[in-house]
Amino acid sequence: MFELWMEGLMALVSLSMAICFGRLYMGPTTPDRTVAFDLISVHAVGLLVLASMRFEDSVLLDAALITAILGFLGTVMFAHFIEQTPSGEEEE
Amino acid sequence: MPVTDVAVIILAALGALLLLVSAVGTVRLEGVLQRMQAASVGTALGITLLLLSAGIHFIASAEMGLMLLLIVFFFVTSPIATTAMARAAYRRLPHSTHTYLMHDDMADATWTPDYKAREADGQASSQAPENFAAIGAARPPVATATDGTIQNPATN
Repeated sequence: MFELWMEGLMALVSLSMAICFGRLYMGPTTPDRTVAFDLISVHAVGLLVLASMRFEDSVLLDAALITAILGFLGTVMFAHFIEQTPSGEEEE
Repeated sequence: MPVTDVAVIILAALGALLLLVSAVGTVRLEGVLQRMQAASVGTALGITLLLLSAGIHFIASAEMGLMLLLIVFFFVTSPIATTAMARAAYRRLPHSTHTYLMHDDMADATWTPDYKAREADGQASSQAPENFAAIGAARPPVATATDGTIQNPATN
């Protein structure tokens, strides 16, 4: 029963992650895609946590920690990139 | 089913639902800053509940410390990432797209990407401040009464 619940929740988080990928695909501007990337990395951490409970394997929690750190670094890197790039409409 | 499993399932279900809410909000809301607000719901609450449920489930193998560490990590890093993203979006996007903002402090700043276009449309004021310091100086001075209390300029 517990495994079934965890599988259902993994399906729910996967659906949510797919919706985030939709924003990553649609997003008209680069900041929109950065927001979607941040949310996708959070969903990856959630999926890893749920998988570690489903398979009774606490090693996956270390993977979740690494994923969280890399997602944060990627988001800050994207924000820095956006801020350093001159906007396309008008050069200063 | 043991009572810890029930607690784990309830917490994990709440976390997953909050993640779904934030994802739907990211798709449905308009504008970068509103989407950022929707994404913060999942980052702050959803993932915290999921990590708490994992900590309760693995409480026999003492994984609760790692989970609390991850929760603190998310609570520290998510405002930093959100602030960096919001600042970049606010500075680099044309301000004519920020129609959902009720109040735009930098609406007349000349460094915004679409200042010339908005000036041609008559949306920007002719006496635009040049930089941050000028924006601060251009604000009306705060009226102080004789007894030293600060009065609201909007009401006077």
